[in-house]
Amino acid sequence: MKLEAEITRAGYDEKTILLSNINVKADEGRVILIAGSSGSGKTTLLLSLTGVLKHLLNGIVDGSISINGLNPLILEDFEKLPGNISVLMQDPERQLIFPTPLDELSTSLEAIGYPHVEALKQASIILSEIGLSNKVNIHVEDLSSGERRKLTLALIQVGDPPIYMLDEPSANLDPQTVALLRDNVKNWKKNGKTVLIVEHKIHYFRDLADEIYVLRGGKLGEFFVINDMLVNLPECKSTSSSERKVVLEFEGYIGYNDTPIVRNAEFKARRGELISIVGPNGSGKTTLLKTLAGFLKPVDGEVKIFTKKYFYAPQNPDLVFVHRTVRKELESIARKTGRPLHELTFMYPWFTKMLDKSPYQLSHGQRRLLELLIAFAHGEDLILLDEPTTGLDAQLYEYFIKEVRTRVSKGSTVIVATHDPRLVLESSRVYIIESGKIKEDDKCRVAESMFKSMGVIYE
Amino acid sequence: MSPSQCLNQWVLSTSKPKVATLLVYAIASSGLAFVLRDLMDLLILAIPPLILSIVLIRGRLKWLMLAYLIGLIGVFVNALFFSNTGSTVVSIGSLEIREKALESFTIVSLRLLAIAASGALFALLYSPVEIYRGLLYEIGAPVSIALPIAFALRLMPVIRRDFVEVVFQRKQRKYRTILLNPVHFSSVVGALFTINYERAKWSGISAEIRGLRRIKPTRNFRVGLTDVFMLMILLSQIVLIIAT
Amino acid sequence: MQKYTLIDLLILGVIAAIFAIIFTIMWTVYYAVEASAGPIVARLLTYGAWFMPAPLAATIIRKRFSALLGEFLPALLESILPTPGGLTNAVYGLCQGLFSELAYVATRYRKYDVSTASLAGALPAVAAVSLDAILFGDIYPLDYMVQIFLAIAVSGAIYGVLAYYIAKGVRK
Repeated sequence: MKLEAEITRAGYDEKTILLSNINVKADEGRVILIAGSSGSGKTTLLLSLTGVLKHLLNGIVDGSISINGLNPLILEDFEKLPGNISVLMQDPERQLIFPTPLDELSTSLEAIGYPHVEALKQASIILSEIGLSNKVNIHVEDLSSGERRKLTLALIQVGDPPIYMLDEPSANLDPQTVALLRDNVKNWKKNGKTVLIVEHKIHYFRDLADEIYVLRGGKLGEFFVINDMLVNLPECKSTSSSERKVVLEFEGYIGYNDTPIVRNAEFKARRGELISIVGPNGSGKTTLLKTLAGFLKPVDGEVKIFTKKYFYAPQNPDLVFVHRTVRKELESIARKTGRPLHELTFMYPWFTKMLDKSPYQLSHGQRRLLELLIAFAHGEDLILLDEPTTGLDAQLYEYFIKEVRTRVSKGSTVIVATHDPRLVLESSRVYIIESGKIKEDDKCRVAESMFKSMGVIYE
Repeated sequence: MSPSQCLNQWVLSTSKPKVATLLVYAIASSGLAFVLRDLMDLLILAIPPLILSIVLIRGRLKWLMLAYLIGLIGVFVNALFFSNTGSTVVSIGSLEIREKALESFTIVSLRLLAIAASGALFALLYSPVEIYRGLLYEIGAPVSIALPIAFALRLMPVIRRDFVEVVFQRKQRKYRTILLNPVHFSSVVGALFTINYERAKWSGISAEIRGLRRIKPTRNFRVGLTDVFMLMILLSQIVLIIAT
Repeated sequence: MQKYTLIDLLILGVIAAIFAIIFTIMWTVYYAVEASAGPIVARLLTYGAWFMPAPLAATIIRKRFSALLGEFLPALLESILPTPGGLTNAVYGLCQGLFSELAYVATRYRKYDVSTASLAGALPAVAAVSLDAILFGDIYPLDYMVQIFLAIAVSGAIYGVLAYYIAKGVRK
């Protein structure tokens, strides 16, 4: 077996054991797909299997693991892992550490034994093979996201390792790049590599997998069609709000630095509406949201907002916090809204426990909700949210949607850029951005196709 | 072709001096600038690197010189506060500018000019990436210095973007955006650090799996014509300073 | 001695990048404050910011030389970006970092608490005042010199405490 693991338990410390009784086995030429929603422990599993959790993060991993004959739980073997296994990180931002593609590749080649000058030559050859020959010395941030993904794919193939692990590879990819990634996986499989993919959206790799498992609550189970999102799925009802007052209006071009991404955009939002903006990764959802919020200037045209009380909440809630403790953040919300502090403190069960901690130390979902409260505090009439439901479990999602429903029913307008069909179902109207165009579409149809693409059968 | 264009062409065509050479030059110039107090000595120290950087660098030098000139305002204020003695040279309203203040201003300005010009020669003739490569592969700087610098260069555009967003959010929440006091300053630094700590953690993990721990600095240094040229200039400056 | 992991080194890279970016902005702020409020107030409000990376790096990494590297690397980065200060940035960074490191040497690298962080923020004042005196000719009557030194040290201590809380607020 190329890869064999029996993990009895694993976690960051004794108090936070996240995985138990995990058995994974894979031989040459096998593709194993592990499905799981966010927070199910997918990334922790990869960190445990590679010995990273134990040796670099001081976590706990009990059990036995064998990777190409090495036991990564022993420090000596862990240090021999490079060359035996490659890991593709969820986000190129977590993988690229040098300013240019040339440095990135040549340094990796040096790490497996090439002398410096040889490494530079080899790196240039690889870069021209993946079509980056004229971008050898360009800063990686000036590459397109597709080019960055090509670079990371080339990077993990340095040294031709027998085992590949991919951490939620589809998370930040546009459709073309997913196709490129699939080609790579097919190729590896053909060449007898062992591939382990942990992924939220299994349909991207389902047909390539030899075995599929589901990770749920830290345990690995047999695969079945994940349709739990369908339970209690509300009926899709069209709503009309066309009589209400307009709060935001835009006609024009949007983009970065005079380069238009979406042309002839028309967008309108009324009081008491929840509006979803959907579309593939990289289509321009965030750009549209930032333009509407005044963070970016439109390439052409003018954003008209008929209120002063509006707020834009970015995808990363960390950008919004200004105070050292949760208590101080809540106090500032109380001051701003006139809501009594104790009401805010008891709004969610974790606030009381975390009052003197830094807001950054809340979990991702909890930070999202704090960000939402801040957004509503400043944007009584209109808030714009970028992917507000990523990383929210069922409970947190309920809290979130309840707050949104209350505000919308009181006449606030909420505009979200989202991948989440649940939000689309809740919306008053939906805009789709695709290949440089934006149009309004029927929300029921959009939600259906989104549920389908998540691997859920919509009945 | 003007002489300066000739020199420019010549240096660039015969391959630039090594990063290490210009680093040595800049260290020596800055070191001497700390020690020397005589006007003539400082002129000898400041003028050659200034001429060389004007000839060789041009474009980007303008910004640096502008920043230098802005910095001189501070030097002038300092001189007024701390060395405004001797006979009055100029008086503007109630403000009297005295002899010693001007003298101190001139000396410090020249000193800073020598430092800025030799620093510019070192830093502007290369891109930051070339300097990083020079540190690791010519000078053989330890990985604990070269790798953080490489990662910093990789992240700077990303962090600049974060910074703009953090400032925008502060504006939205009606907090100060000019960081005059420690609490505001650390609120912004805290946000930037928290966000990028996460990036460092994951990138560090992937770097360990890639085996980057094994990279070794090398000392690969062949002295070229331009290196000799630079060292000759440095040597003659030192001789002149000792002689005068 | 505990070895540095690559995660530690990249954290140092993050600190270098953040402070190099902010310091290039701070120079103008510093001069603006100095021109309007005078050198003592300017030093009290802003000078400690320059010493902040040392206690920040030490509190988060907790290994030998982390304060030194934390202070030196942003300064080195500024030198190669470059700023008008040229290599003096690196010299200041090195000396300030050495003094900051002394705070942790004094505890034999056992304590990384808030009081050590504030000491690590204050000690670089010794290096800064001495280097300023040599480079800018900032040599004044003794009582004034003491005032300047105290302003810088107090400022550094404040920023050191704030650095400690930033490090503590990060999610691990």
